[in-house]
Amino acid sequence: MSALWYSLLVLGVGLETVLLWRTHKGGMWRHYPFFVAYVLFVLLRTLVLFAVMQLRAELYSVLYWRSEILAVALWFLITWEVFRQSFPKWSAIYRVASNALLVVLYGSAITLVVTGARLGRPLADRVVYPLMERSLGCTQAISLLLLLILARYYGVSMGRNVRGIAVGFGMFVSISVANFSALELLTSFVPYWRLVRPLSFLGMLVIWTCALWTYAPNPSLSSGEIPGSHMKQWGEAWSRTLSVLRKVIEP
Amino acid sequence: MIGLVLSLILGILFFLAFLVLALAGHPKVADAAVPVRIVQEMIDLRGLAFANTEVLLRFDDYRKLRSRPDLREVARRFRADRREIVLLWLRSLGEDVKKLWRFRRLLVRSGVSVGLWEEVHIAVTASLVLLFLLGLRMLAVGAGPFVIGGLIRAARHLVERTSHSCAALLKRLPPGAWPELERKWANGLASED
Repeated sequence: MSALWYSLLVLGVGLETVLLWRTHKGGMWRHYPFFVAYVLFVLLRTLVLFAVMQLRAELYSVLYWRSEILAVALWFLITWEVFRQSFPKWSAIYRVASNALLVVLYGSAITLVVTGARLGRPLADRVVYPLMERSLGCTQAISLLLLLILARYYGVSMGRNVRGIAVGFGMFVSISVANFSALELLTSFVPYWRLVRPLSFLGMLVIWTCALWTYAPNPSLSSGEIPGSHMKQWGEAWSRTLSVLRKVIEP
Repeated sequence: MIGLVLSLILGILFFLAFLVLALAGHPKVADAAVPVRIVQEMIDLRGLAFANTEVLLRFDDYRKLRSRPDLREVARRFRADRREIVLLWLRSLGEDVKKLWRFRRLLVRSGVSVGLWEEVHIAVTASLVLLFLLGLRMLAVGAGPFVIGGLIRAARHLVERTSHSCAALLKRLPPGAWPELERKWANGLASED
């Protein structure tokens, strides 16, 4: 293991630890349990893999890719966290957003099954893992983009925490999708790929750490009381509004 | 191979989209103190309120003027003026559509229950109407105001359909939700000023 790899490893573990410390200190783990669960898993996985590399190096590759399946499956926790924070169950947009998300997930599942069926024969690990990274990465990126666009469309403000989680993770999975495609297209890309992946992951951790340094939740969708004078003014304006709307509806 | 190239391009596009969203900031929310006049703006659909579409697009006057050689210049000015008015009206219709579309989104954000396909349908319709109006404006500039009479009447019909769908939503708004809705609408407009 080169000095560069050690540096990346130490930096990654350091950032993950700081992130967990901040979420614990600010009590954010109660608000973002799925996100914290993912970060905790990533930290534990890194430590276990490091120990395996030192003690049983021959098992490292197998264990890395097997645990990668779990890591990729846990990406859904991040998307779910962004979704549940941005569109609370009681809000009317929840129905629209959840249905849109379901369409993306069903679409991705069908695409994955069709792709697998077209490839036919039992696939070798070196084909399955990149395919999984690309497909699920695309699913995550599309889902997150959809949520961010829906939030903008309906004027739902996102807090610093959720926005940071979504944007950081979105950038990471986007790079991951491009990276795994480039890896298969150009074998000469392999040396860069080995660097791009951990560097993009570190980038995501930096964005997350900055975004979650303090607790900054999404602003509430419902807002406070309206002053009495405004209510009176509004009542008068509303009477006029109804009469004009009636004219629009029934010319 | 094609799949790999596609997913490479997709990955890059996704990254750029996230970058844009990260740099775009989030929607501004103004404070609660908002003038009530904004509600009047909300329902002031100037394009729809204009009733004399037929007169505006009538070709007869222009033809009469043009038929007399001594009034050719008057006919030319008449046509130019009419084109300006038509363009102004088309722009107002576009503003009406945007206002109605924005108002619908506010209604949904304020608790009116809608379905996904209903929303997709409205978004697609509103986008098409805006594109159509843009096309009409270009046509009015290029070919003059009188050749697009039929098309403009169709545009008016489409805008009215958008308005009706929005009005249908209003009926589903829970009682007592109007004060909050008015304030949010006002905030939204104020933040765009």
